[in-house]
Amino acid sequence: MNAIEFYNVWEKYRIKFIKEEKVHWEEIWALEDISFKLNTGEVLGIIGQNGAGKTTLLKLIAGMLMPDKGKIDVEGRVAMLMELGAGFNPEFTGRENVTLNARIYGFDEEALNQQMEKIVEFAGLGSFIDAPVKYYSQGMYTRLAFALAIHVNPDILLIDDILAVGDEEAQQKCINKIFELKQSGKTIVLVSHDMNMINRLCNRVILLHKSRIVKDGLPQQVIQHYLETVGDKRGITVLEKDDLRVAFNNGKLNFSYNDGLLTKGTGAFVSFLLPEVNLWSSSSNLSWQIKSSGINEIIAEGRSHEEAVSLIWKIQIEEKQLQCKVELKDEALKDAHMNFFLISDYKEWVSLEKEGEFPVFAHKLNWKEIDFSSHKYSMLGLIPDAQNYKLPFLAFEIEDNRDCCFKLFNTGYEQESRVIQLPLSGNETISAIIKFFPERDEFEDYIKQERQKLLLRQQEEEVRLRASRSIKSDDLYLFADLEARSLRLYFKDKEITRSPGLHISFLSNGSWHDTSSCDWQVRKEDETLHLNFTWKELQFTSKCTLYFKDNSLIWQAECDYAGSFDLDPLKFGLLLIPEYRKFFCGHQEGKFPEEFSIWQDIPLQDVCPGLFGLKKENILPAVTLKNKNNFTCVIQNSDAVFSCRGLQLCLHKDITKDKNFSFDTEIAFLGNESSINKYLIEKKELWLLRKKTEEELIYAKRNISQGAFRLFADTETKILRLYYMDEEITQNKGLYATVYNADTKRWFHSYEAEWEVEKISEEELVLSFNYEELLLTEIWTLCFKEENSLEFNIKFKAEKPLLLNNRNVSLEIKDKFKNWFTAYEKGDFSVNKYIADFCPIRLKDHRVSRVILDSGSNTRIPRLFFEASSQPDKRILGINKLRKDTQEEYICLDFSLVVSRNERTVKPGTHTYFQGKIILGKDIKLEKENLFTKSVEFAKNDLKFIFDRGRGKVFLGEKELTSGLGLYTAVRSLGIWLDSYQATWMVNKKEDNKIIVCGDWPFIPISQIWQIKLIDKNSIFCKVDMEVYEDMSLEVEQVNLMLSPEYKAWIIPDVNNGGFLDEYSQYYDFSPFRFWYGKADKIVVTSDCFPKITFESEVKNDYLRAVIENTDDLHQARRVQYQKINVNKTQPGKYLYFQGIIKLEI
Amino acid sequence: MTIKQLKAKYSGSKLGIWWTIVTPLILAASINFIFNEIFKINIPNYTLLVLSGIIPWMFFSNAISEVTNSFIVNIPILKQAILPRELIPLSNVLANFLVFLIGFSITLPLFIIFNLRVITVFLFLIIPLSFLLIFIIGLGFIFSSFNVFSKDLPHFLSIGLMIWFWITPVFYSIDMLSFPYRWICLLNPLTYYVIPCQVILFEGRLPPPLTVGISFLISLFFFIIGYLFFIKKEPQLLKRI
Repeated sequence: MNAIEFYNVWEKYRIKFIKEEKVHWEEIWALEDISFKLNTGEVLGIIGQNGAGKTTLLKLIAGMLMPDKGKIDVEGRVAMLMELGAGFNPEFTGRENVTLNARIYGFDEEALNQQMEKIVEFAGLGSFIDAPVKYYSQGMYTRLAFALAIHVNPDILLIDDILAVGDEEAQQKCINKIFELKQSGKTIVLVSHDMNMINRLCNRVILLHKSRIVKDGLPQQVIQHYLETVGDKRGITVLEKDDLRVAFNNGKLNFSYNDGLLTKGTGAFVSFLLPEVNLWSSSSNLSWQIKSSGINEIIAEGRSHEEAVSLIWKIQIEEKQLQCKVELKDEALKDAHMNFFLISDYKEWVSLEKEGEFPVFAHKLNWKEIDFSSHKYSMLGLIPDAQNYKLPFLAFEIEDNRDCCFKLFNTGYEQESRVIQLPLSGNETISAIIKFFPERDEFEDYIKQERQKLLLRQQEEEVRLRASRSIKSDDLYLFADLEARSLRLYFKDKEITRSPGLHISFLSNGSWHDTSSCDWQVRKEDETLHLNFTWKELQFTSKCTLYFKDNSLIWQAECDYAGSFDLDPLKFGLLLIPEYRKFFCGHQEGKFPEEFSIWQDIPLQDVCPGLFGLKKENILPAVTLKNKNNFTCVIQNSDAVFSCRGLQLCLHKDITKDKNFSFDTEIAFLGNESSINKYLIEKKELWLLRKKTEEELIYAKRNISQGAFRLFADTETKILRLYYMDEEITQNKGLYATVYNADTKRWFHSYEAEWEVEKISEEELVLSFNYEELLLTEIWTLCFKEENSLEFNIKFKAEKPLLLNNRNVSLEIKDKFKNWFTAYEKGDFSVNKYIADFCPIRLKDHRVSRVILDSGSNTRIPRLFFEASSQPDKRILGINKLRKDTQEEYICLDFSLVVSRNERTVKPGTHTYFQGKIILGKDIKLEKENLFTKSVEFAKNDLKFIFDRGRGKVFLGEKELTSGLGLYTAVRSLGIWLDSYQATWMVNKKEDNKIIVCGDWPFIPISQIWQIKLIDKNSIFCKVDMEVYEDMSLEVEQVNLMLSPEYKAWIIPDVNNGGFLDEYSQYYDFSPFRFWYGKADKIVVTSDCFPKITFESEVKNDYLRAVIENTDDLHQARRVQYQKINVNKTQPGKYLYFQGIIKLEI
Repeated sequence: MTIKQLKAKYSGSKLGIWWTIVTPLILAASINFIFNEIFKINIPNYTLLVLSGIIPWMFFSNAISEVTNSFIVNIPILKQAILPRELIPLSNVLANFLVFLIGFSITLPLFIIFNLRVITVFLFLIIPLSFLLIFIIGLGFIFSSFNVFSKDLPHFLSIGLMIWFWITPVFYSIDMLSFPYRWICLLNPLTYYVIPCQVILFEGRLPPPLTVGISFLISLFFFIIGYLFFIKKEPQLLKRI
């Protein structure tokens, strides 16, 4: 059945011409006498030049035009895709437009709803479907139009060359859809300039030329005819031989094989850059004339209008081969090349060096060059898609094989072609040969042959080159590889170096340079290689001479350096293959690490031995470097990328600073290792000897001793160790000092400082510990004076004012001691219990300056005496037992200094920090300490009051009524309790029955002034003022009176009374034996044998509470207390802390 | 298609279809103001008289000026879709007719309020109005086809319509004119459509059969001439767009 019938159709246009303001109309026939019949299901392609009447023909089919003469019959519904946006109202949304158009095509509501979803999906516009189409991009427009046109289910679909619009994916989708429609038997009429698309889609093609049908038939034939005929007749010729057919058409060359067109678009042409206008022009723009035409040969000449450019093409055809000689006659043309546009069915390419697949067409218009980084291709093969068995394999060659080479491109997907490009230059003839291989085997054989030829050429070339740049001696062979800038060494034809082989490298101005990045000059003379390395920018030249002597390579270098930066270091060396696993250097022997991770220097004991190198490995010879000038040797293991071993000699700036300096070494390759081994043994003995004496010397320098007592300053571990009878008694950190710096808020320990040791005599050692961060140096002078007695003296040397809040000296010793003694107390370590890994021993009186430890029955361990002899009244002793790693136990003794507020700052200069004494011996006795130097005693009759560093003791005759700390104050700041016994005190005023004392608190910025007065023979008045210096939190303020346990009962007059229990808490921070707590200003305690005591408060404060309780187990005393709780922060200022009277009833 | 034309006309405007209602009301108000307050014309319900004539006139003039451009405006449709080309001027005129009907339905109660008799006869309006529609369609074929070839037509039309307005008895009654001026009116085909409207709406009487008969003949004549003209010009017309 015929879908479309044309009977002698004529169509004319009246066209208005305006020339010199005169208007005349001319009638032009757009179509003349067109007759054809198209069957249903046929796909018709219409081709022809622009203006041939293609679109008019389509419009006539569509009914958009009516014929002027003749008759047209069209059966069925027609949909068409023509100009962009036609049929859409820009104000309406995509959906509305689809609806309207569908109505026009005669869809009812139901059919429309069915199709709508499909259309929307196919168009792929997403939410844009509901936006007015005036906001659409061109691609969106087309997609929507296409979606609409195919979904209205037309019987005949007309497409006017619009598929070029849109991205590749969308385009592919449309083409696929057209194929689908073709399969489903629709009639399609397609107008396109894309011959390949026409070829693929159509089963019939009509060629229109000058308004008439010139040819009507199968696509292949018609397209062929089109390419061969359309154009200036003078410039058209066709050559044909067997299956090969070549058409030259006015500067364009198209060829087909076995009726399959291989070129695409304009085929092969020359494009050149016109220098005057800077525009690219094509050979098809020239006017052409066939000069001669034979059976196998065409010569054609093309000239531009101005005769400026002239091109001569000579095309020869042989069996399965096409030769194309192009001569460009214009010297002014700078840039020109010949392009072969080939169909995209060629999927893979092959060159002599490489092969690959073409990527997908990624861009719309941009060309993409395909992998041609470094290679120059003088031959290129193209392999068609395996499915398309009709296409021949192609091989492109350049005939006389000069320097020029092919380039390979993908065009954008609009053109969808493979392009082979060949550069041309003026007044030169370039001849390209294209070979056609219908069979794969032939093609592969050809490629193989060509590759072998190339290989052969390259090998010859290489051999020739090598000979001029290499020297040889027996098994050894040195080659200066200029391409890789590498000096390679071969042993028995196996390369034993890794690139860059023998090299020079140096660090200059912060960056590394080496011979792989400089200019090389190579000269060979009498089996000697002269190599000049020049770093121009750095003004450094090194002239190296290399030659073999027996089994050694002699390497001499004269260096000339005029640059301003130091070359430090400058290394001469070589990189060797990783098969070498063992090295030696002087006496040292070792193995390289198993794995290559990062470049690393192998640690060497002797950095400038006379000989170093690599040891023998199977067949590989040992490599040794002679170090004649005492340079520094380096043995390196590379990273994973290089995976090699490095041997280098380093020159430092003491040598390289000279303008001229020289270097020489001898690299020996030894098949026999005996000489190395001999050398090693010799060196080893020497080294051991030297090392031994050295070690002994060092060791002696750090020891002082007297009798059985020895001190060793262990600089390795930074520990001061004490020995008795050569058995160490210190443990963990030994003897050390600690300070807390309030500026940096950090603790500093002497075992973390920089150490320096100086031995003055066999009995005296001076150590200095440098805390760099604080600019502080501690100078320890340790000296044996009396027998078994080590006296030491620590001084600060501060360079800037520092805030040092804590200053401790600690001694950590082995857990061999059983008992401890102070002047007042003694104890047994086994009694106390650990809290975590820490066992603090509570002392009733920790303000002592001497302590003795005794090991009990263990006779090997002497008694240990530790004394702080400077500022003894300000020392607080700490005794702790510690567990390290929950296993090892040790004892820590420390003396910390009470640092009051105004003593915190250490001024620049030298200060004594600590003086102390350690005695180790069998019989050390502890004398009673007389630390009451600062205590004040005054009495009235029998009543006596002793003030001792923050605690007040009340005596009646010889009987002490108080106990433990007696009268004292305590405050809590930020959760920490601090009592007056921890403060440092000064007596301001002392009269017969009155004292005024002032105490500075450590750690917190407060001080207190106590006024104590004996009013009469049985009353003591006390007043406490407190001065606060900074904003601070004082949560609790207390005044306590610790009384003898002889007191058995208590009374709060008019309120309550009760008795004390004789039980005391083991937990000192927790009082389970509190008997009363409440508001009161008078507390009375009574005893059978002691006088009744009334403790009265004269302070009127709502927050003041009285407390009656037992102390803990340590003091075993009664405590009566006034306590005040503060809610707010305490502002700086002076406050009345407490005022009251202690009354005795005698 | 007609709906599409309407949509296109009012898409992008905020009041949309309400313009069709607002325009005649404003017109009526301004006529009332000018003739009663300024000129103080002494004809009872003069405003209604003018309104009854001006409504069909406005339909005529709007439709003619729009239909003239209908091919030009709808070039995109002509290029994309394959459809009978006659539909384009036809739908255009129908769209205008629809607008006219909506506007007219608003003003109709006015006439009924002032003259209750109108209620009995207003259905007869269908006759002159449908004749007018046919007349406009015929004229529209000619003008719209012609407009594709000569772009001068719209300019000519804007002046022509102005003159045509004054020779149509809208502000005056045909009885006010004496011969020979009355001939001008009588030769004007539009007179035969306006008078029946005036008679029905203003006087509440049935229109004279002679006038209706003449208008029928005129419509038929122009419709046939117009369509023939279009058929003849269609091939050339397609080439010009």
